[in-house]
Order: sequence, then C-alpha cells, then structure tokens
Amino acid sequence: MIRRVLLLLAIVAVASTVRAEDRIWAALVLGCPNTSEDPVPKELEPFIGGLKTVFGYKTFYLLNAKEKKIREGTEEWIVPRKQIFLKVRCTDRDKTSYTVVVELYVKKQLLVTSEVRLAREAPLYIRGPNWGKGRLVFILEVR
Amino acid sequence: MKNFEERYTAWLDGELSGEERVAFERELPDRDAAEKDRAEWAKLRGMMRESLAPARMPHADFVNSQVLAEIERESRAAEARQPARRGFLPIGRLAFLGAFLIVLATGLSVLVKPWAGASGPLVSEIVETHVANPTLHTYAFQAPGGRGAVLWIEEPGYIPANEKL
Repeated sequence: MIRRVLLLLAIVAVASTVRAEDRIWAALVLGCPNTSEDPVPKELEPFIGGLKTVFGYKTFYLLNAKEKKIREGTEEWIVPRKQIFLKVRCTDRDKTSYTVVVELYVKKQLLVTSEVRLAREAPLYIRGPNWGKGRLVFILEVR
Repeated sequence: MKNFEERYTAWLDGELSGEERVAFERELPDRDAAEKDRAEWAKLRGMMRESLAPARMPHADFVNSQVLAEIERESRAAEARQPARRGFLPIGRLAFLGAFLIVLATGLSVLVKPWAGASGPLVSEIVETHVANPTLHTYAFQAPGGRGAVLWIEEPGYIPANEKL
C-alpha cells in the first residue's frame, strides 16, 4: 500500500512539473529577397506566412532553433549564434501568458530590452540586423 | 459378610475397627508378610498422593500479576488501533484516494487545453521597450493576421557577410 501511495505521489509530482513547465522556443532565421527552390523548413512552416507579410522577404532560412524551459523567475540565455543572442527573463505568469523581459545582444552588445507578454502559440518577431544580403529575425514562441 | 480379600484390603487401608482388626489379624496365615504388604502399600499410597497432588508454580502471584498486566496492555493497544479501523477509511487508503484524485485532476488539466476559457489576452503584446543606444528607434505592433507581436528595430546595424555568425 505504501509503495502504491509513493508511486502515485511521484506521478503527481512529475505531472505537476510537466504542467508547470512550458517551453519557450526561439529561432534565428535569415530573410532574403531572392526566391529559392529549397523547401521551407518544417519548423518554420507555421510562421512563414507571418514572416513574409511582416518583413516582405521571399525566402527564409532557419539558422538555428533552441528550446528552453520557462518558469516564473527563470533566466535563460538563448544563443543560436555567437554574434547574436538573447537573454530571456520570465517575470510573471498568468493563465494565458508569460511576461518576459527580452534582451537582444548583437556582437555581445546590448541593443534592446523589451518587456513582452507572450501568449502561448502567439509568436514574437524581432527584427534584427542585416547579415550579408539578408536580415536576421528572431522568433520567440511559448509552447 | 465380607470375604477375606475385602477385609484384607480394608486392613491394608486401616479401615477395620478395633475388634474386627484384632480378629482379622488372628486369621492371617503369615502375619509378617502381611505387615510387609501393608507397609509397602502405605508407601505406595503416599507416593501416589504426592504425584497426584496439583503442581505448585514457584512465585505464582508474581507470574499471575505479570500475565494480567500483559493482557491489560494488549487490550489497550487493541482499543487504540480500533478507531482507525472503524473510521471511514484507513489512512493508507485515504492517502491513495487523495493521490489518485490529484493525478486525475492534473491529467484532466493537461488534456483539456489549459488556457481554454481563460479571460486573459490570447495575443502576445509588447509592453515596453528600451534601447541601449538613443539613436536607435523601435516600433511595436501586432503581426497582421495573427496573434503574434513584432518588435521592429529601425536600423539595428549590420554584420558583414564575411563575418561568421
């Protein structure tokens, strides 16, 4: 009996943890004006329409994507590339969204600090610097 | 009139009255052998009395008091255990039931969309923005046709193409 109770309590703890830990997905993409025959990366498919509408580029390449746990009070460095990265600090959480402070660093210099209320599955796009013939764009989404 | 054997047995047991005993002893063919019989019988009877006597336990009062105290203790312990058994559910089952309900509730909350019916915003929004360099300008707006938000940094610089990211 005691073993069963302990097992159930462990399941409860795990289940609570899983429920409590949403994840923040971050991708660094490069938007280019030229058209490409390459298929859109599967991870970018949900965003490709929004990216084209907002930024006007014809092609988007996924440079890197990271996923981190997000909880109130956590601070995560999201470093898809050494030259451009983010620090995300979660300051608050309610039923529908997380309030995060996002810091964008370019060449290790802080460029912008922004407080954002991130709803689940409602991405934040950050227009970054040019690189070569394209523009770097960050996508952040809570999942 | 008793026969010889009956009177002999009574003589061995010392149950003959004075005259009867004297008369019987005169009848005995071998008085010495009969006296020997009587002495052996008396000895045997004494041994039988001793062996059939109830056994006496040494320190019987102390042992009895200890046994009674032990019975009393066990009765009290049994009484103390009884309320839990008589209650609605034993504590183990209650804990099991509680844990099961929590698991069920957690499972349902995970299966059912956790933010369904929530009253808060379902779109992302930029609350405020600060720039490190005052020459930079930023704009915040909702992504057209979606629930996303856009942080538009005007002239955020560039990284040369020959520089590895």
